[in-house]
Amino acid sequence: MTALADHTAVVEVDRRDLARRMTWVLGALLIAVSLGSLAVGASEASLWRALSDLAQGNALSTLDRVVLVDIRLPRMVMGIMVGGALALSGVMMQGLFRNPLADPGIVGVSAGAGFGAIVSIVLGSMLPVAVLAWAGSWLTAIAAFLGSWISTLLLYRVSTRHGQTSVATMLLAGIALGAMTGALGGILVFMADDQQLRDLTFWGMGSLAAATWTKIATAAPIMALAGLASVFIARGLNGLSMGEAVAHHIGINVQRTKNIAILSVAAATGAAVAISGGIGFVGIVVPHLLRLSTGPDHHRLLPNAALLGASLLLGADMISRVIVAPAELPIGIVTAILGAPVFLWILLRRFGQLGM
Amino acid sequence: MQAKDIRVKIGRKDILHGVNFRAEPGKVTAIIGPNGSGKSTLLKAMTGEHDYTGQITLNGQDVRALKPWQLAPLRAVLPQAATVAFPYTVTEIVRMGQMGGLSGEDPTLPARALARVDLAGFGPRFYSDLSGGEQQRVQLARVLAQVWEPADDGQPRWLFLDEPVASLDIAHQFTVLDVARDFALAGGGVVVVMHDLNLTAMFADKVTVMHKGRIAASGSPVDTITRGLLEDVYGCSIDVSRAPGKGVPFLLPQMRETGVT
Repeated sequence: MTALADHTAVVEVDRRDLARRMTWVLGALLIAVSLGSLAVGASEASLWRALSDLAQGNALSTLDRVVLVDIRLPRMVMGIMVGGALALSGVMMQGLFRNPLADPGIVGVSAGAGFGAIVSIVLGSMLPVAVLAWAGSWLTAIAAFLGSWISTLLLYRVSTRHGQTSVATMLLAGIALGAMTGALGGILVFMADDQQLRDLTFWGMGSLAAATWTKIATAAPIMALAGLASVFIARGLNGLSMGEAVAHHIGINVQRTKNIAILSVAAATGAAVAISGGIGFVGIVVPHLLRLSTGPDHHRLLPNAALLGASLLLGADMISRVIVAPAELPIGIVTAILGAPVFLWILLRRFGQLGM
Repeated sequence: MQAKDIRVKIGRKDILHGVNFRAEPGKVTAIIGPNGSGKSTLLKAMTGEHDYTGQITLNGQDVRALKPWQLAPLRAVLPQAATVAFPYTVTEIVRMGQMGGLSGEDPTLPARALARVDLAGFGPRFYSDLSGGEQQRVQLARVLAQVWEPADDGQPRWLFLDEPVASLDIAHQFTVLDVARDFALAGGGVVVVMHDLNLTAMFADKVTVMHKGRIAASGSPVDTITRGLLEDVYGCSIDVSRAPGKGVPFLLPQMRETGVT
């Protein structure tokens, strides 16, 4: 207690200015990491040779074109999208639940998407040939979309009474939903054959390796919509951090803020899980680092989190490509190894502060 | 501000049975009553936290017809306790109230509001580092920043305070009630739920007494805080005295009569 009194923390600056400057820093960081992500890889292709070819007006070599333009570029774009969407979902979910440890993974949105993907991998072959032909390689993605959508709707139904969403009920319902989809998924995993199991393992770890422009084109509008919506609920999320009643009294339409937050989280998470699998910890680590450095005001926290999330995931992807080259580690393993200790550190620090 | 025939049901239980309540701008109106009498429920119905039947008007407008952002500049509400989820500084908390009102972006307002509640210089500190009583006063500063001008264009602003002095020491109890009193003197309206009868008698212009979900009495402190009221409503026999000079009623808990029916 005396230690606390001796080290009373103060913030003498206006953290809004700090956060504005942080936006520029994170923007610059993302550009640097993006270039790095194009330059680094197992093949002989060289970003610098390609750039000098372009500058001299020469055509790119086949190797450079294939590796840089067809493989690394879509992968980089998808990394930015997925990282940004996951971090944004984390901020919105935490604001909604007034809990810095909340995450789409916790309320079962990711689990719902994951269950959809498992169903498609194990039972997909039972579908009519016409449907299979139409969906093609997209079957898993579509199923993941449906899973997160249905689980969000279900969650919303269970926890909403008389137009009011109870955050506590939603959290508990999310845990129950996660357990249920996990168990059902377990049954399917038990039924799966060897090839399917390999698919499941790879998908469960999450990866940016399967990046294609088609996937990007499908997910981008959904993520952009969620990002745009987040701008309109920044003040609402600030108010919610003092509770629903206080938020209402300072002029916030609480129910609308919650509706937009829930839909945006479902959309961003569903789209991210659909194209890249279950990549964890981005949504928890990124918002925390930013709250520590520039404060919890959501006006800047939301865009800054998207920027840092994108950089973080691209960085993790570079590590996953280089560390066991020419093979590749699933990116979910890298984010978990980087993220889990940070998460634990946050947890210890938080409970240390509360004296628990 | 007027509330007509307010009924509130929580679960299957009726909490308020047709309450009529009136508060006027320029006055401090206190709501008192024993635990469970419905005083906080009445306040929460009036501030939109509980569903109710009946009609509540503020400056002549039905509050049901007003959107949250239209209500926020008209009235500010201090809850009994407010927890803050993230590490906001004191200034950032007060600024959130300011943004809900009409005081705009005036960068000096948070510091002035904090000085008003005897927390000058606390702005840069973290809210979670403060004591319960200090946090309560930060919340009051936030509420004040929301309705900084008690009256504007002839329209009174309103303060709703739910037991604002519950966790405060005696000096700060006076600080907070002086703030409420000054707000009313400047033309604003104050509705305050109180527990302490002596402080109520000192600071309220009008007292409404709640008992079992109904209004038991309403009027000046002299007319309402009486021996009869204490016996009927609180079930507690104490003589009410008058302070010398001003004639404000007061009661000494030491004067409780025991064993007498």
